[in-house]
Amino acid sequence: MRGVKRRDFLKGMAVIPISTGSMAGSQEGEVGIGVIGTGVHGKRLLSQLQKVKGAKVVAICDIYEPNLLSALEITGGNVRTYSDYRKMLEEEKGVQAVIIATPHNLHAGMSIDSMRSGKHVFCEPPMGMDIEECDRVIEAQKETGRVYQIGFQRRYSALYRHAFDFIRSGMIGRVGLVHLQWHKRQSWRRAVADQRWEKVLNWRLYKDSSLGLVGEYGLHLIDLLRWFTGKTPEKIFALGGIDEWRDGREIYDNVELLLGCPGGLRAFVSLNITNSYRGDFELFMGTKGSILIAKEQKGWMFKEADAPKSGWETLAKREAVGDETAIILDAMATKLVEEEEMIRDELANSFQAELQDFIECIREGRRPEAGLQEGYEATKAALRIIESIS
Amino acid sequence: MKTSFELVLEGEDPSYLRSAGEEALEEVERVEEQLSFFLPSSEVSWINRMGYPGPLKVEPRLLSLISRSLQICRETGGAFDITATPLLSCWGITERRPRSPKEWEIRRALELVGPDKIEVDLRERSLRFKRDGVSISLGGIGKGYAVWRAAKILEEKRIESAVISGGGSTIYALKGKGWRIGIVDPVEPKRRVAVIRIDGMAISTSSTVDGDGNPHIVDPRTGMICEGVRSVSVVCEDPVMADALSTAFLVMDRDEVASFCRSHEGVAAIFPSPSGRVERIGMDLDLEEV
Repeated sequence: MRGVKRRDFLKGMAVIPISTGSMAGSQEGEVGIGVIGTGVHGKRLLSQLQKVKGAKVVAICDIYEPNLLSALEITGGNVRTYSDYRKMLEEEKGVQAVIIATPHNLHAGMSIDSMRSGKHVFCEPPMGMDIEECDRVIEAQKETGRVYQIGFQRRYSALYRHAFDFIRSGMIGRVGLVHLQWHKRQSWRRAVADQRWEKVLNWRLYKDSSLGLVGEYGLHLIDLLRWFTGKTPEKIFALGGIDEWRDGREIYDNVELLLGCPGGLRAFVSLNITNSYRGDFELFMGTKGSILIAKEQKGWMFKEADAPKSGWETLAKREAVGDETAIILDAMATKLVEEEEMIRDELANSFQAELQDFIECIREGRRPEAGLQEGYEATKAALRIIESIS
Repeated sequence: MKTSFELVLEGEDPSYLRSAGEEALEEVERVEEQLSFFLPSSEVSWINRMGYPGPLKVEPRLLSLISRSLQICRETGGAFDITATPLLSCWGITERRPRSPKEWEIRRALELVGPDKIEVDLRERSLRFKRDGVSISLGGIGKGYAVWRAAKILEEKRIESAVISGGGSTIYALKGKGWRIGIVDPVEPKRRVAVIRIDGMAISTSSTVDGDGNPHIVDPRTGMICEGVRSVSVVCEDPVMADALSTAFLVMDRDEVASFCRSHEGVAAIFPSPSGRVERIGMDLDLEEV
């Protein structure tokens, strides 16, 4: 992507056309936002939205009042609150776009209702709980022409874009093996004093409302695999179980996957909430080197001894990682000077960056980089994985 | 913050306590994500990159913390200052490579330090740095803020008794049955010099040397390294204030500390002396010397 402006690159990615004629929100004014779901992740997005240029949160919605109250602190209090998202869609004429961060089983229905109410949609993955739901989301988007973006924040991160450049330019050769891991020792259980709220607050633990580890972190990693390698898993070997948190939950606390992709590419994926060793990382191994990204924050490249050396490598910063020396992936170091303003923006938090791009997509009538197709393909792959574990 | 947080929770249902504790620690992680000086994706890093010429829209809670930090800076006569990073860099403290700067380096760094270098607009929820090169670090107040946010979660979950420790140096006991906290000799950390009972109170301790024994506190008013006092513990209801003041009191002299405590009810400072005795300034405490 070096030498190519980010917007040009994004335009080049457009696959699904969206109509621009009926776009709400003008070039000049702010885009009114309604946030549906103000739990942990909803609040994270709400916090980022405070910094997004051209976005104005005007309403928030959650059925659990304490969530609404803590969200109000983030907005500074100056928004209307709702417990029924349909009422919000109906009453809030100033809401042109919604952010959906609710339990998985509500994503598709809320996305469809929102688009049919004329709102643009930013929805956290998964797109739906099954393929039929995903199909209905696609149908609603095509029917309404609204922007639909899915929350794959890595696609908006300067670090990941930088790593993507390296991989796609052949710097680490043919990628044959990928290790993807998300580990954290954490029960995922919320402390619920009043048992009437158990299923609502602990929605992540039940199959009716959650696709579990695969539907949360797994989906992001599958999308990353598809983005970086251009390949979607075909063969799936999967194991999982409830080995530690035997507290009545239905979703697995650990899942291990071996995914076979076209061209002999294999990916190991480990998702685990019983052990935190090495946390989360993504490792792409090629014939000329490897790229490692840890905790979505830092990246390194390890060159094979027989790989040809590029001129820039003599200037690159290095550091020891384990018992090897690696080149630090520095998104700032290789970008063009005239793009400086853009780079400074890009280096912002990837959640902030994805939301900023959502606003720009609405204003420009552009298809998001993480849109329907990316959401659909990753969700479809995740559903196949879940089916194979069962 | 780069530090570990610990919680001790008391109650009858271990599963409930664990879940509540996890939620509180997740809140600490979110604070770290937002306040970190080192993570490029944090909001503070973003402000440091983009604050000049600005203005930047900042999340209301963070803006309020910055605004409060600037207020504490004014109240302590500049002894606590979130803009002091250029001075820390001069002495190699930020990079953990101690060095002695030239006088002109300190003079230049001081030009970038002070609450007047930042303009906060609470109505517009924005801030801007008035000069290129100004930066903020919330390292001197962030632990207290994270402890406070974690405490709020535990209170919402109606935890009856809990103590939260940010790196062992900023500790808060939820209002309830009270907790006894030991204060150690900064030079011999295995030796306890006093025990204090706190209930709905925070205690924060700062020392002039870091874990490797290197001086790491700079007086933002003069730019000089602070070596006189070994450590101070500050007790007050608010962990945010306790954290900030424990840094400020290290560089303030005893008269300044006493004057501050007279004008701010509910604040106490404890200075352990090399002889093993402790000197207390400010409000009365439930304190036993060991």
